[in-house]
Amino acid sequence: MSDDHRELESLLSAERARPEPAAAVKSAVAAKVAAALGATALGAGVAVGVATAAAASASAKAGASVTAAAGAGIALKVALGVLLGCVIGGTIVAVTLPPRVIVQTREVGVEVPGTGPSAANAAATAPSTTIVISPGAPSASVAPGAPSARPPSPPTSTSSPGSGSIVGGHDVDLARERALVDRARSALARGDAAGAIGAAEEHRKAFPRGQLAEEREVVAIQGLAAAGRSEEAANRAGAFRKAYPSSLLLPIVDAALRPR
Amino acid sequence: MTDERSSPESLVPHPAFEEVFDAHFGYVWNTLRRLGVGEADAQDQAQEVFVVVSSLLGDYDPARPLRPWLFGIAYRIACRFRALARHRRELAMDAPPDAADPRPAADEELAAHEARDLVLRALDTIDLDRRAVLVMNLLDEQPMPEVAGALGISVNTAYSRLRLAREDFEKAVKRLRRRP
Repeated sequence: MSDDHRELESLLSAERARPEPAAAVKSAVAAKVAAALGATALGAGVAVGVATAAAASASAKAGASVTAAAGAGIALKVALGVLLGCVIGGTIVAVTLPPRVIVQTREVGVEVPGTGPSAANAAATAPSTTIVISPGAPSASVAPGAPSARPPSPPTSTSSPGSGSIVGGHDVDLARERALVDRARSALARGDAAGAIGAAEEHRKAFPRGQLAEEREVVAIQGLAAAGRSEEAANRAGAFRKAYPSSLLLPIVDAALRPR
Repeated sequence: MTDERSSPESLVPHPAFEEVFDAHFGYVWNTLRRLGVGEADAQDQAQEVFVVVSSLLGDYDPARPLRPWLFGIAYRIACRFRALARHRRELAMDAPPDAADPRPAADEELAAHEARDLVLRALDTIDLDRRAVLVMNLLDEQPMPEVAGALGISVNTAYSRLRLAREDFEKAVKRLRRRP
């Protein structure tokens, strides 16, 4: 008995000391999060990095996405800086980020303290000169010139490996779903409500009961609310609450419906 | 830490998202792994966790410890992932062990590595709601009230799940030791 106990304790203690993942993994996830939250200035570089990561993970196991991370890795610091802005909002953001991102803070964030309405309404032009990324191989071919409105196309047709639809545990559908949802999220974060609604709608048509239907509904509701289509947003939110009564994302839905 | 008289406790500043990500990414990652998210899926699921974290950070009470709060989010993301991924359930077992760990394979290190591998496999046999309690209490070493709070259950329920999870875990370890 006590031997058993000692053995279990030694197992648990080994597990407690589990090392953290490699830095490249952390960077890759940072870039994905940044893209999902709409790091505007990162636009081309990181968003494509994400698309590439999705494609890569669809076609290979763990290692591939680390490769994709190389390009986005440089952006880590910058990406997190942008995220910082998304979360704390307010004046820091006003200095470094385009105002559209600030508006997004109000839509996505829940009770973001310190987000002054004046900062949110400031409508200065958006200089994206503060952040320059020289992405590595994965995104090198994408023209970074137009940060405003070009979402990366989902890595669907070109990325699906000929060898079958399930490779390394990621089915291609999931990668496509994720690309669409990410596209909707980053459109929303740019202040492009129509783009967000469009991408969400595309997802709804292709994957009505997809694995990411819950996320899609949230971003659709946010998009509708941001576009001023409050009644549709409220109806859809009602349906969402019925379908996902215990959703972790409910506070985000509530925040989206709050009158601005 | 200096005490600023003028700022009441309610004004304890929220941690910045950047700091949360930087300091706790590894924790979230390892938590997801322990909750049954395979190596190949952990990036996507970690992304989901932090997207939610960024949205809910305003609701977080900075006077409370952060990790149980993060655990609660990771747990729910993992639940959903497991539910969605049921049809490709075998993947978790299929995934390569943490290969991205290029340490010298000293005997001790190797043994620790194998031990961790065994722990994950044993954990993977336990129902997620029980497992969450075990992970939080025995691995994160969080006190039971904290565990119960993060998971939204009563302390009694938490204790009962812990007991069952322990039994499950011990059995699984024995079984896996017999035929790895």
